[in-house]
Amino acid sequence: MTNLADAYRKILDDMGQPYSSQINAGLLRLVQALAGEEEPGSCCQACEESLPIFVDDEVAGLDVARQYPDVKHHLDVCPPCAAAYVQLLQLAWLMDSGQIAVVKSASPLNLSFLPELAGGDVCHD
Amino acid sequence: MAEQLSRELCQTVAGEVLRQRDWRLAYVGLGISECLEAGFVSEVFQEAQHKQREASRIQSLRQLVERAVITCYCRRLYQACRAHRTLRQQRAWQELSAYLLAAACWKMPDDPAQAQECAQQALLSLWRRFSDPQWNLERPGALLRYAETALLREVWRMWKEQGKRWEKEKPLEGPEQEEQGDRETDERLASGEALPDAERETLRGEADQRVVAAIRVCLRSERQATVIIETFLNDRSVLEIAEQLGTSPENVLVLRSRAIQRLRPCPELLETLSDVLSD
Ligand SMILES: [Zn+2]
Repeated sequence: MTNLADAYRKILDDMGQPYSSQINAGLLRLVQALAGEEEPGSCCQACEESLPIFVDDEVAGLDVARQYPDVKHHLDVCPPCAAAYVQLLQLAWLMDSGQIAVVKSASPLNLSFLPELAGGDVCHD
Repeated sequence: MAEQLSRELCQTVAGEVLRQRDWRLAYVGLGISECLEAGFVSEVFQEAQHKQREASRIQSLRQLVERAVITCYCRRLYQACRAHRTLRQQRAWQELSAYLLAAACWKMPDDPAQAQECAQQALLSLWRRFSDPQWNLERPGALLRYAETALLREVWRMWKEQGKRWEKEKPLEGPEQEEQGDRETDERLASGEALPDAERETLRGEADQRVVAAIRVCLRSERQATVIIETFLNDRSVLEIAEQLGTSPENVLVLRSRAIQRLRPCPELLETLSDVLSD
């Protein structure tokens, strides 16, 4: 498997940079994905930080490939980031479309971290 | 007759969305009355108009308004989360905790105790950030996405501690279902029926055509080929492809990674790509 990935890595090396504008940049990303290129960690971190907004816009139907090309293209070639992204996308999609019901009863989570109400703001319940 | 975007529609949909989730921060008196705050409907209307202008993926008007309601509500929720020592703050965190718990229970259906623990930790991590007066959320309208991110991080951490594999944990469609889907799609293609919106006219040039042909030779599955062509050559997002194929986002990723594994050792594609890219 490694030498096959190497063959794709060689294509990228042989091309040198900058790449010709005649070429569909998607072909290069496909080669990167086939080469299993390891992206530097800083790209992954930037991608991770952008995910909430990227996914929110994607669920809203916006053209995220055009709005956030760096994020979209990193997700095309980086399997760990793509896995995290798709988990968020799946959850966001189901929650927004109401397919996962939010339980109406009082939540059993502990909210004792909240500060006490200010004197004037009394609870009328 | 097709529905038009109107304030009335926004009011109706807002009422439905908020009632369904028991979200009360947009009601007069935190829901003591059934009356939505006047400014909220106007905000939703504006947001829906904005989304209608910006959206590129086709969706129903109702879906569009639902998303506008959620975005506008998130802004309120965020403000309320930080409204120190008020009833609104208490209500906001109750709503956020119910939301996180629902998401956690979906994510970990077999273990309610662990789901609760993850939701609790996610809630605390949000609280730590939100209670810092120097810190601001980049986009309050996407608050729920930040909350879901915090939750998934906790779930991931718990699974990692238990030695589970995160991305393999919840495959929505197994291999059999994938093959089944492939057969159905391929039968439709054979009968001359076009896939919905498939391969829009964005493929350009001879190089692209040759690569597409090689991909089809290497992959026996039409669904896998579609995922690769749409992702890389047409630059489509996962959700667009999922809707095109009538499957889940998670399954698009499964199809993509299987396709990459099958394409990698395929000599036709290697040859075509080195040929095309060395020109
Ligand atoms: Zn990455």
